[in-house]
Amino acid sequence: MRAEWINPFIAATATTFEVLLECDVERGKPRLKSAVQPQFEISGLMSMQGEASGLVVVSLHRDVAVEATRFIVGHASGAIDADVVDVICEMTNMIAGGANNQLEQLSMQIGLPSVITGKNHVVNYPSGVATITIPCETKWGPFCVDASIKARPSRVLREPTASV
Amino acid sequence: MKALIADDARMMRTILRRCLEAIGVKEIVEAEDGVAAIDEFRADRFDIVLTDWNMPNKNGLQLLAEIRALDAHVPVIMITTEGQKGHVTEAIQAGVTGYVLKPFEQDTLKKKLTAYCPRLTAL
Repeated sequence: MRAEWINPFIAATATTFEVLLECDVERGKPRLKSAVQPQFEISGLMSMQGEASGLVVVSLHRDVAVEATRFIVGHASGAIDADVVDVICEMTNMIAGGANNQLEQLSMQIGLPSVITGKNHVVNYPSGVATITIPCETKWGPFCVDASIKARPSRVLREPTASV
Repeated sequence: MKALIADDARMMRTILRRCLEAIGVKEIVEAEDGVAAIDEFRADRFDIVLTDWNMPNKNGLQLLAEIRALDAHVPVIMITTEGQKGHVTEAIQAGVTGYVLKPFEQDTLKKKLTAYCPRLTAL
């Protein structure tokens, strides 16, 4: 997995937190993810196609999602409710948009983002490629960016056959 | 002053409403897609329009084109994640007044709105 595929997502995530939420992000060291599920209760999913394809998941601790909602909307119930989903959905849109603006140069496009909630929710990470997770910390709690991206299989070039 | 906000995300409508209220706009109408927005625009008179690009039913670019067919002068500000040069060019060609990339700081947006719509500074 190439850093230039992942970095636009990490940069766009940090920008979204810092600009939209006025919340600094402390980034940890990337590591291989062993679990098959997102780490936290609410996840924004972004799939990508093109020269490389795969999935990037921003998985947020409940406290981060709730406090982000409180910051934007002005109030929050403490539960992962419609307001929280709305906020995380739009944040995921912004992250995807920010990443897309950089990935376009690499002939890659991001599809429509989506949000999944619930304890132990399952995400179908692409098979045949390792998932890298980048742990992040904020004043509201942790979140992580999981990336599972692989290069498009190179086309098999055949020698032209001679016609008789 | 009357403003129209077109965005399918409730959160964005909340942020934009807050910014407009902070610079003195009292009358604000919200639409959750481009179809609802053009219906509102046809039914009333607005001094400024803030629109998202990606919306269901009718996107912000189509909305912009329809507004321009009705009113060549009303300031229309596109507020979107679509930062590719091609998109910005399309919006300019369709007659957009201003272009703001998400995410944005609310103070920055307020300054841009007053720059794009000088009448707002008089409020």
